[in-house]
Amino acid sequence: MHFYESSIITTKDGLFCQVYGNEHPVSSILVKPKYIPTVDVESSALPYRFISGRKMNRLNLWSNKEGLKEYIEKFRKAYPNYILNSPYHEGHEGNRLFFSIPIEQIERIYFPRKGFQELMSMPKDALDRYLKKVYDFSEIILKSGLSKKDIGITYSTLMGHYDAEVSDMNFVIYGKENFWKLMRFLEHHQHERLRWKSDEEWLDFRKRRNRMHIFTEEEFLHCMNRKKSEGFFDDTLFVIFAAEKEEETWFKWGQEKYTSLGLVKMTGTVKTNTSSVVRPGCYELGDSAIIETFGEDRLKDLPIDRIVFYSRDYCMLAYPDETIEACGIVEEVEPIPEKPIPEKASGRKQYRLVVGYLDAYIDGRREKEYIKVIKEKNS
Amino acid sequence: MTNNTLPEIEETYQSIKASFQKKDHEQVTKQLAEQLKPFEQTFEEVFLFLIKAFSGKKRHDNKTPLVSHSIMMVVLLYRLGERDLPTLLTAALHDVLEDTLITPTILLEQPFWKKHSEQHPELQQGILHNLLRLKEDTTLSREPDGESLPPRYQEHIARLIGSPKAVITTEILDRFCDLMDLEYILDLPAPQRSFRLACKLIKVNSFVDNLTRGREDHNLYCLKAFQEKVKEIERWYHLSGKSVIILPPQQYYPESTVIDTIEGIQCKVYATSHPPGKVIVKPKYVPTDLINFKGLKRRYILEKSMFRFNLFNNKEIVEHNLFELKKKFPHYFYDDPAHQNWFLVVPKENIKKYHDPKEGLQQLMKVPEQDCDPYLRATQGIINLILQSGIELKDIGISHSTLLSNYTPGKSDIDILIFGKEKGWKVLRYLENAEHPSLKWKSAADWTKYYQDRVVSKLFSEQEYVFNQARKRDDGFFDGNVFSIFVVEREEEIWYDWSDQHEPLGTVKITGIISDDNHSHLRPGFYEIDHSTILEGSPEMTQKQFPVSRIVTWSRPFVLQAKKNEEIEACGLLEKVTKTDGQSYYQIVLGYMDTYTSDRGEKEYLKTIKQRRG
Repeated sequence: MHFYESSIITTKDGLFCQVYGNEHPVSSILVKPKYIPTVDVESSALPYRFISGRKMNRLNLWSNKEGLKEYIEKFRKAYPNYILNSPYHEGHEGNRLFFSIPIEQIERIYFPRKGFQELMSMPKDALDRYLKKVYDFSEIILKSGLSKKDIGITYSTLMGHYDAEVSDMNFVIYGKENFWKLMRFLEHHQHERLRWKSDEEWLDFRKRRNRMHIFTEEEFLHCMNRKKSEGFFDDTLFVIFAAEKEEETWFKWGQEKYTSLGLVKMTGTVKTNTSSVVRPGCYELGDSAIIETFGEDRLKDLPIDRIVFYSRDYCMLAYPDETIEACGIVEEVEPIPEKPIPEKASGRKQYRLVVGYLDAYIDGRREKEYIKVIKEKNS
Repeated sequence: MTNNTLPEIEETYQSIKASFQKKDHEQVTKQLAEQLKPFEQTFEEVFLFLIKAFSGKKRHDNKTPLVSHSIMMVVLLYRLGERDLPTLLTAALHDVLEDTLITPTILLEQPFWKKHSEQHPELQQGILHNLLRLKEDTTLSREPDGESLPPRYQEHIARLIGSPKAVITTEILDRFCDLMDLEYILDLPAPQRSFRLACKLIKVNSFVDNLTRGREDHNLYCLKAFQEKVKEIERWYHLSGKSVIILPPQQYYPESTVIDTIEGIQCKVYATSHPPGKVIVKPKYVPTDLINFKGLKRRYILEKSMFRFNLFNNKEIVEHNLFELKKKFPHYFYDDPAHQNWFLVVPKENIKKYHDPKEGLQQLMKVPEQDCDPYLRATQGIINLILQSGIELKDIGISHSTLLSNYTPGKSDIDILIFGKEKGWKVLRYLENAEHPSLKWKSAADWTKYYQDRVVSKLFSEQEYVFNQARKRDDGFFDGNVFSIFVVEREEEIWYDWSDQHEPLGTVKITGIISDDNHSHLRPGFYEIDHSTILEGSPEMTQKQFPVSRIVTWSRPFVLQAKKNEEIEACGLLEKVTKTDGQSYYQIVLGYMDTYTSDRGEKEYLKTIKQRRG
């Protein structure tokens, strides 16, 4: 079932969740809980926020790992109906962790596109300093040729509990083509109030994500500086996400089964990165080679067709004909017989590498998994 | 009603259903409408409208047109002796907003209302109100578990309790119809069939038992037919369908708390005592797509563009906006015969959410300081200071943007509620002498600005206003954030009695001596006065010198305005108040809602003209 990424769902028991991906099971919506009331489960390892009359924990996947692991275990017990046992994911490492909100538990859905339309209908002088900034930056986005219906605002910008001094501006662009169009526009657009993240700011991000042992400073900066989805408008960070339209999704929930085979490190050449702007996103590969199997020799010759990632950190990292290296879970992909996907019916088994499943953040893979460019097209 | 009524009703039901399955719908409805004398013309039009609205949709059996149910409801009710037009219309239209593309606007434009508009001028709005109540909240689950009542039905029942008889009768018959179309359950294997039937009985009994509890104004024949049908099913299938008791809606809505309505309007509760079935409010944020107000600021809140509803405005603008509000939501206006005046209200069944100020504060105080922004840190700071007065955290609440998280640091007030009259005085007295590096009181300049921003009174000089306000200790600054303290009565302390009869006599100016200021920190609050003299008013009033014993204020600027033994001067509406035991007294009232649009608003004031000695 299609449901747009980055919409916000509040549950009847007070959770604030962001929709995670664009493809979902029929009876529930995959989410990442963002703010969770502390009434039933609480952890001082996670930051706190006071929102809508409730003391909440902010689920930060980059928090102290042991604290996070303990919290997720408590969460499973407090909210068992928000944990999805996917019949389509067979975990070598145990069940894959997916959070999902059953439809009947939804209190309200905040739609980014609707919020954007409402915001842009406001007289500008009725907006506070932060929203004026959002409004002004939106006008720049619109100059790319996108129309208002292609744009949404999300998270605190949408919900209204932003802190004008510290909150990011979060935008959603509907349609991968639209998103790429905007990226191409921003790459060349000059505006006195617009600037991109400095090297120092990107390196600070690298430090917070604990990516120092994976990327050299130079490698990291090279990849990140190509991204035009994050920057500053005045002094406020903006982040632009992409959401796939229903006809654009690169997989359908329930039409494939994934069996985990183990952790590997691999290289491959990017064939297409069209879907690298979404979550989950992917890079289609050619010439893949497994370069490390962590003791599982049976995996060393598997041909990997695709690298899939669940973390936005890997969006738009690599471009066609570039060689990338990645570490993640290799999975066998099996079309579900009742609903075969015609183009997959080649007879050869399909394999993919997945980086950033939510359970990676609590089982030690968080620091091991990565994707990086090791050879550019023309180098 | 005879013992044969249930079989007769069942036969009618099946016969109409069969007709709709086999014959031309327009022909069937014409014949049925002819039976509904004296409303045959109205219902012929209503039925044709329904046929178009349902546009050929079928029920789950894929052969019965969906529209047949709505039409059947009217015919069955009529056979059960119902002749009340609002009830018959409510039954006819009960599904039209839920199951078709008809909007309230389209519905209200239909020609069939016209012939009744003279005799029943409020018929359209009344029916629309009924239909909105009858709409289920489809975001809630109705998935049954065989034991309890699904959340959707619980919410709906709670909202329907206390509804007009037309709604209750419609709901009973609708639940009766639930029991008439059970084929899709009866065809199931035995275990599933028993489960589904048990769930169905829990549902229908819960609706009917809760809605009819303690009242008999609905159609009793309809109720009897329903009860007999339930017994029949229980007997046939060896089941017992217990109903789930739903508690009546919340009764205590304290002043300065916030409620969201089902229309998406956020309202500030404006009193702690309320007329039956209603809550006195001032709308605060109204979605801009609902009403076209003018002269109001707009805010972007919770993905919506909202008007910041404000009655402190140019009188013509206020009149226009109130007119628009009344046109769109007449049920937000309450013409109270006992007051001979109007109030802005929300009917209790239109309340979607009450934001609990006490629970919100309990939660906030548990958040570690380092995880709070400067505004919330200041809120925690002023609360910690207030706690030093000796009251407990459970006696305090937070409200408005502080509670709802749509505050703007540096601009938004911190709104604090103190529950209990005595606790309120304890805090106010403590703050009079409290010293804290972050605590500051509004300066004369701050009060001057406030005076200039609001239409307080043209007869109240800026200097007098500033003097009267500057000695108060309910508005101040903490870490640069404005805080306001609202004292609210606990449920058992409520003083305002909506059963009193108020006879408005006219505008007067008086003087008097405050004999009791114990309720002057509330809204509405009051001052007891002695030695009153009517200085200005009609000749009759000045001649007769009615003894005014109380000044009531609905307006926050006049809270804590005078102290015991002080001599005051005031201008307001003179009323004769008669209690239910026949005793009466005179009072003047400041700040009724009509003052926002009347000349009296500009005349009203209360000021101390002579301070007490010592």
